[in-house]
Amino acid sequence: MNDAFLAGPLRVRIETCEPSVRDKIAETLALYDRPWDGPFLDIVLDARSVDRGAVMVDGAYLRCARMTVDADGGEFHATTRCGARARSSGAARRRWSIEVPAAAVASDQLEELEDLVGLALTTGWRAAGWVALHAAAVVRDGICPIFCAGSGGGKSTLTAALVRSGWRALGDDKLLLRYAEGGAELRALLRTFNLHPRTREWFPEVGDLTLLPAYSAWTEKRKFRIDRTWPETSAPHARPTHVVRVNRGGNSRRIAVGELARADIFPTLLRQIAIPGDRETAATILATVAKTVGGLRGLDIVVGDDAYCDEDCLAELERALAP
Amino acid sequence: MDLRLAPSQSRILALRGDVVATVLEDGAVLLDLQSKYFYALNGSAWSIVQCLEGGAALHDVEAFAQTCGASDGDGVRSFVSSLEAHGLLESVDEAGPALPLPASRTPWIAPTIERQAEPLQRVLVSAFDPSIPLAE
Repeated sequence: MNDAFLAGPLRVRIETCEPSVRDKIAETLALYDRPWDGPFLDIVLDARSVDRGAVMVDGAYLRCARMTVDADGGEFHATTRCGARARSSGAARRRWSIEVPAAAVASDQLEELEDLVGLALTTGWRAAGWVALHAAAVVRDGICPIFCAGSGGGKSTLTAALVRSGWRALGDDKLLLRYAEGGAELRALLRTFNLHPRTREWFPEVGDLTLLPAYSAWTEKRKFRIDRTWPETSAPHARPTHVVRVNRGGNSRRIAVGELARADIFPTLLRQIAIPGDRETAATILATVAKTVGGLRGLDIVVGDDAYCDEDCLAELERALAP
Repeated sequence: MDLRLAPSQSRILALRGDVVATVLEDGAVLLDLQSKYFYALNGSAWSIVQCLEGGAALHDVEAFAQTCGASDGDGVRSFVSSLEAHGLLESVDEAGPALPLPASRTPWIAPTIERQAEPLQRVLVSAFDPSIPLAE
C-alpha cells in the first residue's frame, strides 16, 4: 500500500502494509492542504510494525515531550516514548524508515507517529530552503504582521478576529519562512485554524466547535476549516512587515498596543522556531531570522480576556499596523 | 580547564564549537546550543569575537581596538572575561592559520554583551512547536 501527499514544498510518499499506521500518517499529512506550485522535494515514509520497541536516544539534536532525536552526518535517528523509531537515509530523496511496536499498532496508540512525521517534514522543509515558524500571520494591502506567542497564547483567536475584519490569513500557527534575494517571504501550509470551543462566544458563526476533530492531545482546540465559514480569506504567501508579540492579560475588553523595542524583535521571532542542537542547522535558522527582522517593525500587544466581546477591539491594533 | 585570562598574552581563545553566531544589524547574536541562552553583542564586541575566531591572541585584539580608536584597548579584557564567564569560549591549543582582522571600526564604543533573561526551551512540544509542553 502506498500513496502520496503534498506538504508545502514536499511530496511525501507513504509506504506501509499497516492500514492503521497508514491512516495515522495520512491524517497528519492531510493537514497541509494549502496547494503549492512545484518544484517538490520527494521524501518517503516507509513504515512497518516490529515486535520490540526502541530504546529512546539521547536527544542531542532535539528533545520533545514525546520524542528525542539524534543526528549524525545529516542522518537522523528519532525515538518516541511508545518505542517507535524513525531513521533517515539519503539526502536528495530522503527516505525515513519508521518502526512502530506491534503492541502500539494493535492498541491503535499511534499519536506519536505525529511527532515522527513532523520531524520528517521540518527537516524536509529546511532541505528545501524553508524554516518552520510556529506563528500566525495575516495580510492586507501589503501589511503582514507575524503574531508571536506560545501555544495557547492567543494567536489563533486573534487571527480569526482579524479575518472577520477583512484580513486574509496565512495561518494561525504553522508557516514557512525564508529569506531570498527579494527579501523575507512567508508561505502558508494549511487552511485550518486550531480554535478553542470558547471562540463561539465571540464569533458565533464558527458554530459548535466541540463537534469537530480535536487538534492534538495537548489542547482542547479543534481543527476548523476557515474558508467554509469565511470564504476567500486565506492567503498563500506574503512579505512580512511587522513582528507582533502577543501577550494575554487580565480582565479587560481591549487590546492594548505598544511598540516592541528594536532589540526585542529578533528574540521574539526566534522563540517561535524549534532550533535543533546542530550547529549548521541552527546557524541557518539564526541567519534567516536575523535577515528577516532587518526591515520589520515591532509591536507589543496585550489582549484582554474579554477583548473579543468588544466589536471595536481591533481598532487600536489596526491603526498601529497602518503604514 | 582554567579558562581565565592568563598572564601570557599569547593564549588563543575561540568560541566553543556549539556556540553559533549570526550578524544582526550593527552587531551580532550568539546562541549557546548547550545552555540555550542567546547573547546580543554590539558592533565592537562582534569585532572582538571575529578577531578571536580569526586566531588573534588577546594582545592582537587589544592592538586592533586601539587602531579603531580605543584608548589602550579599553574594554577588550573585560569583554573577553565576560565571554569566559558565560562559558562561551574555549582555549585553542593549536592556532590555525591567522585570518585577517575585521575591518577597522570607528568610532570605537565600549564592547557590550547582553544575555537574554530566558533561554530557549530545552524540551519542546514538537519539531515544529517550540512551546513548553503541557501535561497531556
